Amino acid sequence: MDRLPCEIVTDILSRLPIKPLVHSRCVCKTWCTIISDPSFQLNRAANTDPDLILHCKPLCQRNKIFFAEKNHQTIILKPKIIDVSLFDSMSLSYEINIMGSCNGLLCLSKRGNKRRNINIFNPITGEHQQLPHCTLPNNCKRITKYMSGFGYDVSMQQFKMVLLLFYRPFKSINVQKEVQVYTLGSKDWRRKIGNVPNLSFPNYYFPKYYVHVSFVFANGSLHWIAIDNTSSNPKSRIVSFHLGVEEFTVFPTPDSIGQNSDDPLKYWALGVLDDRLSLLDSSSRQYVDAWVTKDCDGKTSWNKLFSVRDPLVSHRLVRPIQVLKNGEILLTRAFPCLVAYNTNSKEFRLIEVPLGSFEPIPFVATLISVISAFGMNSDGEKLSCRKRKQPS
Amino acid sequence: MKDSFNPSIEPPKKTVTLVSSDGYDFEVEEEVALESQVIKDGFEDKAVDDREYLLFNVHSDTLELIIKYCEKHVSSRKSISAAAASSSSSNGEEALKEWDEHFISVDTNTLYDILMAADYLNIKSLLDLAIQKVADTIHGRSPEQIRKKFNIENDSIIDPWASE
Repeated sequence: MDRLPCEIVTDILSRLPIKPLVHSRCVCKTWCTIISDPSFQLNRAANTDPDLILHCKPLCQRNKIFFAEKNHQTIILKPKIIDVSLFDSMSLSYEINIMGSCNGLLCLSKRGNKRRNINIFNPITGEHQQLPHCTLPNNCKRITKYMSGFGYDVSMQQFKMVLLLFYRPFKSINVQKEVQVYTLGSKDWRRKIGNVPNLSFPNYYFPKYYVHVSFVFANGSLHWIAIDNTSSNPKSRIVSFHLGVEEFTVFPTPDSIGQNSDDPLKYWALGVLDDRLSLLDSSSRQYVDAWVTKDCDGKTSWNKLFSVRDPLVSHRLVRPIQVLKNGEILLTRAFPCLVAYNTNSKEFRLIEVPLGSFEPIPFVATLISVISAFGMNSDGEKLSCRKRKQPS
Repeated sequence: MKDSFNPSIEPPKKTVTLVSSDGYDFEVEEEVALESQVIKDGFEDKAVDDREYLLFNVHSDTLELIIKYCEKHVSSRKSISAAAASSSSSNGEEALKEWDEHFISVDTNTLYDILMAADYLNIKSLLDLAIQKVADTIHGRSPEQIRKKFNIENDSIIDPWASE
């Protein structure tokens, strides 16, 4: 193997699934160096089809995540228990919320946690790190709610966490907004002074269906569904936050998409299919439309992926998850179950999941070190992976 | 052969000479040699009577295998496109895949030799095949088995991870 040039060894190792890759780290120093290189892991993540993690919801199983192995008909589950006692100031009496994932790192928070403890966790290596607490906005009496997002900025090669805080100031009843950005590895959160679009954000898409992932990361931007209340006829909108330039934009929506004034929010959901932002519109009880973005001369437009007109079938479709190896599109359906849609035969098939209720999270397994992700710091300052002093 | 019925008589096949590191000459058809991107680049600039390539890094044993691979791929491509043109059903691609699989099932040293030669001659499909073969061989083996298989010295400082 010594005879082979480094780039060939790198190519060989990049083709391995995660488990043999873990073993390969201890074959020799050269292999370990190649595999531990963050850019190797990021490249591999970009070229690997995402797997699925199922986060269990019932009380008896809570705080467990399962790696799902997809077979033709069924999903095989490999339980992986998140040991919450690992995380400082998280205790077993709280329920963990997976806010999202990016390049193999999961972003976790504790449900109902007023302090907004956020942890970054790599379930493959078991490493984790708590983020510092964000600074409260000036004049803040109470945080009423927050939107979050987590992604990777390719231009600066940094992971970033974004919080959009809604708060009630002293001596005023008008809720105000503030955006804060935390770059993994830096000391503190940064306040972003800039315009947040004048839209309202829901806490969750489908509270009754246990779907809590509220953001979607695609093409360097975080995306949320928001509602435009400025006119008498409220409309759903897609709001983006670009992690490089750190600015909000309102993402165009498909021209011919249905708008439901009743509660538009209930019926739109975002997902990522083959690296492209996708939107599931079930505004009508009669049909469901799925859209994906396409890039055309640098301009983004939407393509209709499929349309289901049979209410019996389309009823309660919730969210696009991912494209399976055989080309089928995996979606969640309400009262959580998974269905795969074949765009050629236009047929759905149910995928059995032996769990009561769960939330599916697309996930690419990587060996990206949480510690080195926090070490990728613009000041060149390394932070240690231990409990930080918390602001009182 | 079908070609012999063709009224337009083809000129005799042009050949290229490849010389292995241990001094053996291999005369191969031009199109077979052109499977190598390295030979292809700048091929036209070379005088017709000077089409001889000294391959200092490729031993005759390996070169023989490489030529066998390129000949098979050139002829398969032809029969696949012929089948497509006459719209007759063909399982050419499947058969070629099977052939590739059989071709690359060699011992570790030969596999290395093929890898190095494919890299040196820049034959992308063969390089890809060989790299995938090594990756498949690693898959499912313990670190100790991998070291043994690929003759790697154990200078690792990490303890093997407990498997879940």
